[in-house]
Amino acid sequence: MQRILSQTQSEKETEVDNFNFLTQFINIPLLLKATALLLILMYAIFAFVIFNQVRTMNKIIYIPSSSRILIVISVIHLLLSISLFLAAVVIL
Amino acid sequence: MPDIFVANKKGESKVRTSSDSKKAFHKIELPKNHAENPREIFFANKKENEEIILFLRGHIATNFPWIVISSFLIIFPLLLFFFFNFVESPFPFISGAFIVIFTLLYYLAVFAYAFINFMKWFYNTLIITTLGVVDIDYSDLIYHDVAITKLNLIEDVKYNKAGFFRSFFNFGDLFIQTAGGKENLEALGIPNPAHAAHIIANSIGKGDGSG
Repeated sequence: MQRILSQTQSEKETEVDNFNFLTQFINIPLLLKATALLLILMYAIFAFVIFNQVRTMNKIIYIPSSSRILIVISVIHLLLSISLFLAAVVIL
Repeated sequence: MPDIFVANKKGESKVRTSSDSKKAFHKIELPKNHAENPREIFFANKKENEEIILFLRGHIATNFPWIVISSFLIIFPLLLFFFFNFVESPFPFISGAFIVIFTLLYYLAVFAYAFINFMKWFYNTLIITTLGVVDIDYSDLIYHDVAITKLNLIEDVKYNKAGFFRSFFNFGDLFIQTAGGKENLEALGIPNPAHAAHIIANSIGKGDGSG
């Protein structure tokens, strides 16, 4: 029983050692930050595409009561995504 | 002496006051899925003498799938947070700031998913006018297609309404066959397709004579 316990403990220690070995070469927080910023930046571009698409579609078909609201929503969405990017730059 | 007739001064009727614009701004209505003889709708290539007879978009019930999926996606992180309260996190190196930023990004993405689906419903329209039929297809964020057919080019119109939900909510698909190599038009999931088919069938052959 004790042999099995010591074997499990040694396996855990090996895993921790491997993790420490990896972190020596890769800065995980920095990698995560870069990935997050890239993702949010891509999302902001995507939000701009949505805004552009709403503008284009409003030129094809315009319903005064609703089309205006869609434009406002797409602008808010774009501003939120840009704000998130700026927040990520500051916080992360 | 009292005035019997007073002519409008030039340009007087076109002047919009700030109270008018406020009234217009406050006039917010929910988007309708069909309207007969709407005057406030404008579309590209609309001619001066052209009037809209029927305006159609998908039935409100066609939105249920994405509303259900979005609702689940909204609740999902809350369930995940609840779960990780009891279980040790498998990613101890992820800080609280990362979790906050990723959660916000996730909710923005869910919002975008819902918004794009709403846009699909909102912009997928079929407009029957006194001169022709305009079919606006918006199937993807980077794809839209506008087809305009004159009434005298319409050869056949048919609709189908199959399934329990379609019969219950009274919506179905409408297909308009056009002459020769012209593109056929279709409106999917529209409310009361029989009525729309009836209006188009009555209009066949009318309109501008020049093909």
